[in-house]
Amino acid sequence: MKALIEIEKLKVQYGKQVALELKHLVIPQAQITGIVGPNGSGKSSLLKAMLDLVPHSGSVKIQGTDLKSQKERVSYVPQKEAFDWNFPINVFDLVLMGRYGPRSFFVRSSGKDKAIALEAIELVDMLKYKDRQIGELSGGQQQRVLIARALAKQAELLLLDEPFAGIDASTETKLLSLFEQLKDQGKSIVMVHHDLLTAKNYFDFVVLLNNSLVADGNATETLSAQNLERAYGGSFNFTK
Amino acid sequence: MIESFLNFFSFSHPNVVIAAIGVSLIGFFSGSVGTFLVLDKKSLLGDAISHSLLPGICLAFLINGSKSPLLLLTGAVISGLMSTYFVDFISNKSKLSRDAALAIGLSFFFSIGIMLLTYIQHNQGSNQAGLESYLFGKAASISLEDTVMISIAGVLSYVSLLIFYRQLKATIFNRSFASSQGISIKFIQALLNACAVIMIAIGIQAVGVVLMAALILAPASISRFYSKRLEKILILSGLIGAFGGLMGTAVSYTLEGMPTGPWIVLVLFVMSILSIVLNYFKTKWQTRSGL
Repeated sequence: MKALIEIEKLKVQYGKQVALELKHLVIPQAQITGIVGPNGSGKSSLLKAMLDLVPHSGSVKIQGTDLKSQKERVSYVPQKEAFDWNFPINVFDLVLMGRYGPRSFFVRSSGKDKAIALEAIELVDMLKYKDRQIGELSGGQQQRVLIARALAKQAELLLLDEPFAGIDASTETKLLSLFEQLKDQGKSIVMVHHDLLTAKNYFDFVVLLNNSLVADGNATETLSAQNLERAYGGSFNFTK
Repeated sequence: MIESFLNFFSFSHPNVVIAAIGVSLIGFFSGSVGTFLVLDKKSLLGDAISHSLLPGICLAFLINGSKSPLLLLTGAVISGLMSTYFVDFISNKSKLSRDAALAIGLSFFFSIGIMLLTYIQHNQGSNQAGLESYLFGKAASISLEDTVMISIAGVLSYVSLLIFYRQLKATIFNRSFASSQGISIKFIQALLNACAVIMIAIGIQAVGVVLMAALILAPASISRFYSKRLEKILILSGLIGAFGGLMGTAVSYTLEGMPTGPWIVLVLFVMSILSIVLNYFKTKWQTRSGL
């Protein structure tokens, strides 16, 4: 496995509360990586620190350069709950935002950007809803739209915060096969995930957190009963 | 009375035309900038800014002894920007929530403003006459010079918002996402604050510091009933603000000595109520016909 992201001495702190402290972590290229751990174990903080969205110390590098200076190489899908779904915008315009950047000036997007946005909407099978107001979508559809927006950026690394939270099983399967497709195209996918039952089947690489790194590596070994006990506490029995 | 109200719309008197254009422009620009503030859930910020302009206006007058619009505007903008930094400082450095910090900033700046205004009224003789119209607004006091300044400041702010429109839209929709796209949240935030301060500063002459927030917030709140697209809401809010401004000016010209601000707000309030009622029946009709 080739390394894509290298994290050194990362520390995320909210006030006096240390949310996450990592000595060293490598995330592989062209793989689906799952970040797993109990609530409040620093999963979302890891994504946010990678994107420089929360104050932190330490370094996050993508193939040797600081990730925060290479934001065009990363797409980010925040948690669905972080959005105001009453915002006056339709599906197409929201996905088009994936094409926005620091050099987007004035109101109109280019024809090329619009074509890319439409392609992304088609990939998540939402084309017939493209003119719908985002508040009128179901939870699963909203998630698909957020992913389409991230795809529209055409970045090589995709960071997703709980993309499967609150969506139905069939959407989950479809999204997973979409991620597999992206992986085959050479893209790297990193997602926060909280369902231990599916984690073993979904991910090539797993990062198990509990405010620090408990274990990382291939899914079966990392999610061993012993490791899970260390991450989730003594009473946890996952193997039964 | 109806006759003099209609007489206003014949625009036969040049002063009336200047005031009507000035206040309509104020309404248009405030409604447009206000749309971003409302969607950014920053409604209270508009109120805090407008109240905090008063000390700046009074100080500018005290220092210079003249009521030159550009001078008073400069004073207003400086104290408006100071208040936004003050509010940010309090909410970042203390455990107070943002709305508490805003309320503190608003009342602190406003009380200083009232102190200075009272001092000026008692100590500056007839020179100061008219300064009190900044409290509730007086369209009749808007001169050609004011209208030119309103147009320049308004167009400049509006154009800068249009230049950064897409980055602004992404930022107020979701900051984390916008930041992950490489957009500078700090810059966009500062731009929006600056435009809000400028719009409010040019608006208070007509509407007054006490009610200016309504001219910022009401148009966007009304137009959200009629469209689900930001671009349309933006244009509609501008037009609603301009209409409110025009009607308020008409009333204040018709009824001798009436302040403009309250009438503008009243017109916008009636439009809000009508929109709420219309929307209620529209939704009811749609559910009944199964749409």
